[in-house]
Amino acid sequence: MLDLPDPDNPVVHVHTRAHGGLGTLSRRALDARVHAGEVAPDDLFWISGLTEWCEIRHHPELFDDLAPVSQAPSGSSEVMDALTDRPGPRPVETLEPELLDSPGHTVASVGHPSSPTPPAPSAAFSLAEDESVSFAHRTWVPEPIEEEPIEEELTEEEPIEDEPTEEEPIEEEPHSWHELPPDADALVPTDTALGFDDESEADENEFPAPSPLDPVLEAVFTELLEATWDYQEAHEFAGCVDEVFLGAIMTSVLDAGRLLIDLSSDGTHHFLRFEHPEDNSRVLLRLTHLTGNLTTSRVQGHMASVVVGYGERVSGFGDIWARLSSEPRSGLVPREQPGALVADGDVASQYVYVQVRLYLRIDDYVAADWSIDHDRLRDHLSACVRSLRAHLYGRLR
Amino acid sequence: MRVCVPCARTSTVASADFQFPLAKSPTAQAVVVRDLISQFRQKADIHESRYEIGIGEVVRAMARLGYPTVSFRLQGEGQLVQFRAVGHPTLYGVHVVFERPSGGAVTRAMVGSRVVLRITAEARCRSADSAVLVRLARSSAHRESAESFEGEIRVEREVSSLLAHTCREIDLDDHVGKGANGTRTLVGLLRTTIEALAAAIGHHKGLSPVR
Repeated sequence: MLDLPDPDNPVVHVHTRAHGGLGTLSRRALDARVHAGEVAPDDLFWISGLTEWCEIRHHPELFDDLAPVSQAPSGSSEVMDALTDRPGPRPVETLEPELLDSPGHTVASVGHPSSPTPPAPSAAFSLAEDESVSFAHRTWVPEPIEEEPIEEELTEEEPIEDEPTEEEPIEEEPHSWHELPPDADALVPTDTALGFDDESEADENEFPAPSPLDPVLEAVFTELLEATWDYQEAHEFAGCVDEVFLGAIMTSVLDAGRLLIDLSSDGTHHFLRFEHPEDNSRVLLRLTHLTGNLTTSRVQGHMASVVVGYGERVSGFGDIWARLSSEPRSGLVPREQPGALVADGDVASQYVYVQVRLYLRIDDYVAADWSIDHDRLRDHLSACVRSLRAHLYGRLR
Repeated sequence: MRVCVPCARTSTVASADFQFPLAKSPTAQAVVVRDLISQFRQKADIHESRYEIGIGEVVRAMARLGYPTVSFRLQGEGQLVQFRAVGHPTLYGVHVVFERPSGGAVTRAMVGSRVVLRITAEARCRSADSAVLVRLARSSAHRESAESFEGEIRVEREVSSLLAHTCREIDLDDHVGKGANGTRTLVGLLRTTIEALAAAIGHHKGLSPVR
């Protein structure tokens, strides 16, 4: 059952074999044209809700609720008979061969003109099977549809062209990729190509609804999007897990009673500095993500290099500094080798630090579902700080 | 021969690595050792780090809500911290910008410990339905007043996301050094704000199912 538009709402797309496209008419205007003989009962129409173009004669309900046209032409009774009768398709042998090259009946253009067009009549479907027909300007021909009487009728009728009418000019459709407007073959259609501009909102009804999507193709598109999102999700996690870990470290150290007093990054390393508000001891951290892409992380897991430092402001810094400086330094032993405890000092702040470089498995603290084991991380960091402090006190003694 | 290795950075860090009696290529080694300490600018006391303290407290409060950090970066004069809204029925992420107080010492003295947070909640469209996508693409921005706090929320579409923006001002003195109560207060403020933003996104006419 057709969902009929208002009788005076010009949303019925009409395509005649004699004059091509007539644009959009109201049902009442269409009725008048039918009675005037300008539109034949077997001409095509399309309104929103239809999956394809239909012959007018098969849908007499289009005019059921309309008042009779006042000045019906002499042949009106025949017209009405034709609307109510539903004769079979015209014989193939009655069709005109020149219709075959009619450019107005190719497959609907992929790149639409500035305003959306209704689905093209399915006449071209049968053209694909006729090898004598030139397909020079066709870019895609779908599989022929069987049991379509329209196809046969249109293929041998006189050529039908989409000509703009006076009341509503229609931009001629391009018929090949080369003839498409500049943005028609863009990978991402512009709003203009889609007809989405501010003015178009008010005239929404002037454009036909997009033809229903093939559910199978729609499902394919959905699957492609889903796969894309899943892949992107995995990549995003692999790329930002170090910053998840960084936030987790901040939370864990804050939970241990310290305050974040510095946060910086140089693009490769993240630097954090914390201070305890009571004893002013400081904890420094440098975090470096070692497996920053999905492939590496799937092989090795998510790994990070973390340098943890613990420092205290000390009295007699000069003496301590001199003692640290007097230690042998041949340059043969890497001072920042993982697992080695190194003492260092900051003259300006008079802090002495001990630091150690560790390799940590981020996976031990951050799960693939983004959940974080803060307790474990806090315990591990506390263990590091405790050991570094003990080492520092030992060195200062 | 003793090789004097200059400090790699113009910091005040003095290290025992300055002198290497037998070093063949001690420069890189020295830089690495002092790298961690020299990264940080010197501050007279902890009060100069009020801005960073605020960032840390918000990161911890968001962690309490179950939202991990996914990005730290500078944005204009502020620091942007992005969070993933894990488990939230509507939101994909939350973005918080800490606006660094501008002006001189007088202005900062007047502002005191107040920090402005620009909070944005993001819902991402995860629909392949063309009607949904078209509706979202054609939707326009709207504003509404927040019911749970004094402020305005602006909702707009960007690409396939809906963003709800608002600003909150917090006084760090209410949250820092207040123990669990201070954190709890901040968690409540953020939760209220985020839920108001999520509700505002729900009012947007371009709303579509999110993943």
